[in-house]
Amino acid sequence: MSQGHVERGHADDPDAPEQPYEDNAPDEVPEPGLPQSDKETPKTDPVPED
Amino acid sequence: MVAEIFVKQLDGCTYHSPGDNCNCAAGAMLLFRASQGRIHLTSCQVRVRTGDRSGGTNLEQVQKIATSYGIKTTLYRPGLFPKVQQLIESGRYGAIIQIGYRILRNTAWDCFEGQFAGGHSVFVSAGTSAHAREGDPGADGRRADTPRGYQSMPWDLLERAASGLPLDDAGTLLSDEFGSGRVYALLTPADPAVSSQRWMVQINGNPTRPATFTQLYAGMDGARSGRVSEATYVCLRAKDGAGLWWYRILSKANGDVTVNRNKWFKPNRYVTARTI
Repeated sequence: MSQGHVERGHADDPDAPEQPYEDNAPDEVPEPGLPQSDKETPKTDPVPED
Repeated sequence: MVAEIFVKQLDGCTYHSPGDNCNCAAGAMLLFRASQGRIHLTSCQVRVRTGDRSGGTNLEQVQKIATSYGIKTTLYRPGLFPKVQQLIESGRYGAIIQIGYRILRNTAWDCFEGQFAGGHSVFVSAGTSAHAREGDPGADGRRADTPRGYQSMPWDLLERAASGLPLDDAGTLLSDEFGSGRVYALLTPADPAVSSQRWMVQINGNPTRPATFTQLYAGMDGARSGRVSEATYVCLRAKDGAGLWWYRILSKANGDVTVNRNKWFKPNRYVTARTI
């Protein structure tokens, strides 16, 4: 591969879609791995404010 | 590098009593971490964003605020404590953990002089195999014996406090409902992974076909900043919070300065790369 630098075609077409690339797959989201409650988490309690 | 900030809850908030804002303070710590320091709010400012002026807040309310900033968090309702611990120990995650303060009352980590035993939220920023680095929103050093900022807490103590989370006014604990070793937590997305390994990256689009050009960005997930049809650059590679790889341009292939220095682009079918 040539080490000479080629840098051209700085197009300004921001609306053109990027090409999809299957190798750039995101990390897996760490799932809870347990059945989830259908209730919301509890609201916290008031602490003493001195 | 981990973006870490400590946010206290007793900040004089006039929108709503700051005694109720521990979860908002923990939320401010989460937002700072998850945005790599770009979102810097007080607990009161988080409280205002909930629009809720009644009692305490919960993890869902913080998650909604994070989502409004485009930050994808993961809610565990519940999760396995050892799994959350493992993720935090990896160095790429932080989490708000809800706890029952009765377990911490009158310990070295008690920020309320033995006067509080209810449901509370802390932000865990990091951890070793033995200890969690936890930010209790009450740890503002307001008294000589009040902890100040992040503290090192044994994981087993934090796990017991998580299991002791009161779920309702009847005194039902998390462990009563789900068994021991469970936790209610809100996890940050993974921190960007940055490597010092350099890459020679060739962009090889067709100069006559704009659809083959490679989009450049001002930062990872930043604003678009021009495109390139053909070029060879020396780059660093990093992984964003969603786990996608990006290249950051350092120089032209021969080491010369390029106008595109410090711009970013993603791998695509017109990009080939090798380590150097």
